[in-house]
Amino acid sequence: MMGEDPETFTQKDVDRAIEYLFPSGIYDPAARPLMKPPEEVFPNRKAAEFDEAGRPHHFLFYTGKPNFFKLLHDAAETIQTLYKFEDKVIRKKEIPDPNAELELLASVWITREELEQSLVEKITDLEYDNFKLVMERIVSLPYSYRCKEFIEKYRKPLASQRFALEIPKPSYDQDGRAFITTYECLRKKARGDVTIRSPGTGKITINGKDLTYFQDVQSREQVLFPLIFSEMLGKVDVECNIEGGGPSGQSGAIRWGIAWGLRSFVDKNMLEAMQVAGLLTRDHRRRERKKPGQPGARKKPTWKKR
Amino acid sequence: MNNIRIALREVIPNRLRTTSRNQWPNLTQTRFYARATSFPDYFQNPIFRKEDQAKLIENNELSKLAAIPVKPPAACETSSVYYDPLVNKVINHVMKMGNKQLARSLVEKAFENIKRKQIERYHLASTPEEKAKILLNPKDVLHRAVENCKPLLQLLPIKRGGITYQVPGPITEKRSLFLAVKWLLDASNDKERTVHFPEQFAWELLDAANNTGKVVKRKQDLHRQCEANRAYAHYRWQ
Amino acid sequence: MFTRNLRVFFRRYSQTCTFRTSELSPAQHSENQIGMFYTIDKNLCKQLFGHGGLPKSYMKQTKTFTETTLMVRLPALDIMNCIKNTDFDKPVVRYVLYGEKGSGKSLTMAHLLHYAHEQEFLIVHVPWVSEWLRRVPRHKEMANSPTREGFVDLPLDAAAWLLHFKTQNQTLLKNPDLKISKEYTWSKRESTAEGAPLLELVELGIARVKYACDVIDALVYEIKLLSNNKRCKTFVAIDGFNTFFYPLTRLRTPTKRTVAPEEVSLTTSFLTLTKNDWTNGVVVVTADQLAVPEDHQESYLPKYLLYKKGFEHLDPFVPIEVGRYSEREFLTCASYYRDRLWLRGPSELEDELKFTSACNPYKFMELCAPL
Repeated sequence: MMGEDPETFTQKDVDRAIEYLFPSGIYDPAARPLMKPPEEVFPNRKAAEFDEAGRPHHFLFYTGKPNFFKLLHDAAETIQTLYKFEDKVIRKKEIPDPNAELELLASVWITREELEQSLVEKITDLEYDNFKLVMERIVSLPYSYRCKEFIEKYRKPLASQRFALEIPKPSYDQDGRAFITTYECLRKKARGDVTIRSPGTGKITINGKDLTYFQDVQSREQVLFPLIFSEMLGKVDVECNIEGGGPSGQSGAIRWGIAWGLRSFVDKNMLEAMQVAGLLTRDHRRRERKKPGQPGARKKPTWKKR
Repeated sequence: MNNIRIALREVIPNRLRTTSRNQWPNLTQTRFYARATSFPDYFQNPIFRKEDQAKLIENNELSKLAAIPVKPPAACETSSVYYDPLVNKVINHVMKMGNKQLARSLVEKAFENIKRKQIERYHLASTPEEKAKILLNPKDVLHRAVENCKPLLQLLPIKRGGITYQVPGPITEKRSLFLAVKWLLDASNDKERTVHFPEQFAWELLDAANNTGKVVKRKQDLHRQCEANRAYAHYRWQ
Repeated sequence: MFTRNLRVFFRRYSQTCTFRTSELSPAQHSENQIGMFYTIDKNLCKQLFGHGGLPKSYMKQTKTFTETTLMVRLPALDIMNCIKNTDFDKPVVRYVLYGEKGSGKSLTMAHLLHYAHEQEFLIVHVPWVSEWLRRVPRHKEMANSPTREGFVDLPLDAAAWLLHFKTQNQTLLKNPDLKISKEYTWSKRESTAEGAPLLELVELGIARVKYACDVIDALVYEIKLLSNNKRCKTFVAIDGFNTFFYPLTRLRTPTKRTVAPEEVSLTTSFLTLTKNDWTNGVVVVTADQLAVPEDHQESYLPKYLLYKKGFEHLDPFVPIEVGRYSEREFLTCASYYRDRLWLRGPSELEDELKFTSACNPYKFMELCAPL
């Protein structure tokens, strides 16, 4: 109707359309008009738990949290089956297949809120820790790959680092040198931008001054860290403008800016190495505020037993 | 973030109930932060030393680790050749009130003193064998001193029948290192008023590296005590 | 790129063997030896720098390295060339050494002093002016000047300086040609007659501390006369000259009034010496940031450090910048430190150190200390 293709109309397009057709000036996003599948809007509710005679459908109804304990019951059963399988294989004198090991680095266990949503039941901290223990137990067994679907149901994949690992294209200035500018380099209260030009002689300019802008050695080392790591010390020129914060914040911001900019001038292996070294992660930690009734952010007044 | 909110809900109201400053009871319960105050659990620790990275490349695990979130390295860590984690730990223990620059300069001056003394001894030594024995790198001196000061057992206070016995027990690597550094710093702070900390620290490190001096004596006293209290060792299990 | 690496490698190798030069006489130093180290004889060192002249951190290094070496650098060679080509009949040329903190001004001065000593100049060397005006322990011996109204004397400092002057010019002062031109009466019983040797004047100043500042005044007058009459050529070296023009000193009169530098008699003596109304001499002066307190250390340029008065007093002068290490100088310095066991470790360290210290000589020395 609006020139859109009905075959490829996703939820995002629906949201866009509703925002256009029903403009709303309400501040709270949850109070604005929305059009989403009913499962997202209305929370799950439990169906009738017992029949007319009063007999419960679920065999674990009288625990109070039947779905959760059914889950633990299933987990215990899988452990038993895996033990039996292991015994069988040992009797046949074989070893587990090393290639079929589970890849669990890139995922975490689902959070308590998500578990509560999927089970439609409240879960306490202790119960959640117990659940995690049981699942870790299953994963530690040698033949856990046989119960892969069961484990995957309760694993959430982590955000992939594809933004960090992509290589942006550098622009070219009048002399034909490639350069790339990273804006919004932040760390604590420092804000700035970093320009890297290649090929260069290793000149570093901060706010118009040399590396001597930082008097202390630690800040200078931090600025040079990504260049030393990627062995580009004498090969690129760095130009940065920074304001706000102190020496540590400013040098941290420049470090991230240089690493982010070096992505364009470095090959894929070195890029992965930088990502593993953590140089490409944005440090979003900020100073924690002081709370009333306490001398500091975490420090409490002297504890008195009575 | 939600964990912090829920944790706060449980911690802060208790606190407010016990103190008498109960002026704003409700304000604290629904506080949350615009950003998380530290990295969540699933962030891995960064691996930036060249040797560790080489090991990863050998095992072909680099690509797998590159796909998951990694914490950024701390403000004092670099991948350069002259960064040493033990030196950093010593600087942290020397630091007071967060004054890292001062702590670092003190430790560096101590290293300078060690170097000057060792170079003097090197020039005074006559034979090449003696010269080879002298450690000229102050970091090597520090490593050896810490090694010589690390205790192998510790005394645990265990109460049995109303009496607290000092029972010898095992010690973890971390605690052993912590005790070694703490004893070295205690001995250096036990100094005369006119002597500066870097000089005293340099003397202590040189003595410890030679297996003499106050700190090594303290470690040996501890070992003797453990040997003497051997009879109570079974109290750990009962 | 491969050939460039080869070239760098060969340059490094050739320099590891040749960071020293066997030319021990500064007069023979030329541009071939820029960046190389030459050793100064121990006795000469004691004679020239016995009472100051070399920075304290450098003295510690000489003890550790068991020898005193200086690096031949471009600013010193420039001044030496200028001195060789000056016409000594014209009024004195004044050179001002300036540079960042720790770039090597005092050591360049030391190199020039060695050269002056070799060329048999009469050396007037003030090791560090701030010692007199700013370094004030609990109580500094001060006296009101007897000859001049309202001026303050520093008798002990003056006597110490006269001793320093005597040790530096031992050989020259033995020459009987240097005579005083007029008579000086110090008190009823003491006077120095006309025609007495300069040495006697100096010794009187050392012995009679009360009159030391007046002796210095007289000495300055005599030296100017002698230079004008071509009896001897003079080399004046003052380190930290901008202290004379900083508005405050740390001296206080017994009435707790802060003394300004113009009221100290030593200032006037050395200011008359640095005026360009005499011939047959050379004046080299440094303008140093460390000589003034930290609030006024914004820039290292002479116009800022010398204030209006100093600039007008010294105008016209030849400014000479003492800069940081060049690539070659840095490599020789690193190989010298390796040779003296001050720097150990793999050679990648040197690249990192070059950037971390930003090629500043003092910072490089500090950074190598704990390594």
